[in-house]
Amino acid sequence: MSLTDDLPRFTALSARLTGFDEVALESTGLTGTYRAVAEEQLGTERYTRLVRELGDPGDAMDGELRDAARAVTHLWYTGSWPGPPPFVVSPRAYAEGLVWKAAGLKAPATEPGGYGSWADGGDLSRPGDEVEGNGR
Amino acid sequence: MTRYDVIVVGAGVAGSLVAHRLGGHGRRVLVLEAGAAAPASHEPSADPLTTYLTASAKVPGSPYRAHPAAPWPEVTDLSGTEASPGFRAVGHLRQDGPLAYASGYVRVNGGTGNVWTGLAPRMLPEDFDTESFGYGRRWPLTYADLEPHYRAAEAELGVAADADEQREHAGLPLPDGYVFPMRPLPASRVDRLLAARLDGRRVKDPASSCEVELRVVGTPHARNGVPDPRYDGGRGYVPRGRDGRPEPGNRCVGNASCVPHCPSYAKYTPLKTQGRWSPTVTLRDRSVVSRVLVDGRGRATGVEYRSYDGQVSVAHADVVVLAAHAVENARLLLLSRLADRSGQVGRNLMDHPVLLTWGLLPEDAGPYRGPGSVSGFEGFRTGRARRLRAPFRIELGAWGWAWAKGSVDSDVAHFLTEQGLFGAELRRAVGDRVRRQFTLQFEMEQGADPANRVTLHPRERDPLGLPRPLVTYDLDEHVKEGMAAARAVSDQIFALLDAEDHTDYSPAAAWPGRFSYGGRTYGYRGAGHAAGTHIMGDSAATSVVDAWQRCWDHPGLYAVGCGSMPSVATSNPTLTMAALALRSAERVEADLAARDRPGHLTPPPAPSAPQAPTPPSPTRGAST
Repeated sequence: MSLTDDLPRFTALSARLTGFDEVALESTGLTGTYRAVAEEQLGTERYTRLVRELGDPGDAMDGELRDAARAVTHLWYTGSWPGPPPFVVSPRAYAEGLVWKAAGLKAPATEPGGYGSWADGGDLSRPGDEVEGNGR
Repeated sequence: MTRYDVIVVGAGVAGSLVAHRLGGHGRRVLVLEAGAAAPASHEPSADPLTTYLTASAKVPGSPYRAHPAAPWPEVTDLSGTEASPGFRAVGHLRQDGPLAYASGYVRVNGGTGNVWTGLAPRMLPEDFDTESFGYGRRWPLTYADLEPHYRAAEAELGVAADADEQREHAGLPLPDGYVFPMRPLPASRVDRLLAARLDGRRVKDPASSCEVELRVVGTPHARNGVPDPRYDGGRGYVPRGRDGRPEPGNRCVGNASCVPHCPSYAKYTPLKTQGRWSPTVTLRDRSVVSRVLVDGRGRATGVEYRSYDGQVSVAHADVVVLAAHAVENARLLLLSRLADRSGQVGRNLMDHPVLLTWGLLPEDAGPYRGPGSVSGFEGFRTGRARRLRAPFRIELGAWGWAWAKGSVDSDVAHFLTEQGLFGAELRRAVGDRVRRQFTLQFEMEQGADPANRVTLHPRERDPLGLPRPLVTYDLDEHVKEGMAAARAVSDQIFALLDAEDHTDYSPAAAWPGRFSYGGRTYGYRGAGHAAGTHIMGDSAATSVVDAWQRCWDHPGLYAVGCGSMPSVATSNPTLTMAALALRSAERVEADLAARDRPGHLTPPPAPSAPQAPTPPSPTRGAST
């Protein structure tokens, strides 16, 4: 399987794992990078199994596949491969971590909101669970 | 060999300010800094921001890479264990005490002042004499003695605060008409939420059985905000940006990474002061001072220092100012076998052990968008309750659970691994969890106790062959009572907020600072506020330095920094350290002026009762 053929499958898999659609993931510019990191860290065999076999990320997974799926999801959410040892892929990867988007926030030191931005959110009673990041 | 008027050891907050003031008087100052000012040509040239962004653990030292020749203790050198004594310390700072000394520092140009939070409250008048509360050590000077120097420090650091609020709700007797250089920072969302729910409510302090009224009060920040045009008699204040350059529009923009790096250079760091040094000040980095030199009568004559390849050099000056951090100052005095008539060098090590409690608000707390803490509760810092428990200041943490649990990576791991979530469920759960997080940070005063100390390790040496520092540390009943009271206060605040309490000091490995008291387990972090190791006093028999931070037995030798503080109180100590350093700089200048006076043959004044050496330096901000 060539890299080019494989990338859409990796992106589709990532969308199922993360809850962010493919457009949101592609807009990070990191799909190719993360595909390469995943294959390198998991090894080609496990990586290929993950991309080919994972239809629905849920109970159907065996232990090895579930661990691989978690690692890839962790990578998308944080920009870090969970290790061991853990490592941040790049400053860009850190900035694009989906954890911040899920919370409607920006990663610290990447896209500050301006003087006083920390005060805003006019309605002080908005329930947190109604807020969801737009995935940008 | 060039002869200097003054050698300053350490280019952090205190050392950079001393050098700045003396350079301003035309003095030839050599500043020797153990850490690196910039990467050498063969080293990775990553800037602090990139190094920080790509660090797996975003710990205080993460923007920098330690050189083996000038190592520093990082919080990751500590881990908790199930077995006694409950922690393990590796790396530069070794430990053999009952409890963990949980703070580190940084040895790079600018020192730990690069990575501090930037909170700059003054100490309160009563903080200068805790002996009247039955613990700690009395200062040989009062708040009133230090007041003009606080104003000078607020000018040098660029402090944003509200004088009226500080007077009314923090208990500071600021002079009438005083205004801070910059207007107070806007309160964070979590501050506003807590103020709306809690201001005016009362909670019971179980130690004193008194009720304390809650009020969210803005904390003074050494961080650029909007200049106050009324400052300095209407002359105003110009914020300083990178390298101290005047930048009227420089503001904190909410990077939410003050510890350890401010990408907008709104936070004060010593590099801003260095950018304003006169040409008579020379910085020599990668220079690890290994010994202070004195003559036959004990007068300081210079220092011996080593480059990273071990080459030994000597520099001479009339005055030597140690400003290398509380732990390293003590280490250097011990290495030099100086200043220890009282037996107090290295003793009385204090920190702010910080009890953290954390949870989820019912609503969006707006975390990770501004300074690490903008406001706090000030009601537990003063008064008779200090007799019964350690006083504490409560910082409202605005970076989620970062200090308690590490980065948000742990939240992701929780839902992914422990709850098995993927897809939309994961996205919803993680987003909800992060947005509602808040933390209360109870910074406990720890009294001076000679048993808490820094010594030289009997065997372990650093790569330059110098004995590593060894710390013996414990928390006494007074501090533990303070933590117990803090937890009880936290419980009441969480109930008033209808917040879910997620405080849990486990796993053991993540809590090197942990103890049981009264049947409850407490975990603490170190605030990085090391103090007391060359304690100031009014007698050579019981203290290391006098009220001017002069070593009693060594004319011309000063040890400045938080190491001089007889009490660390409940204020973040940097501003007080800066005020003391500026005050000492005046004394050094007076010494040098006496030396230079034609026909003046008497030795410099003996270290006796403190007296004003010179007219006060220009203190911007004096309203009258």
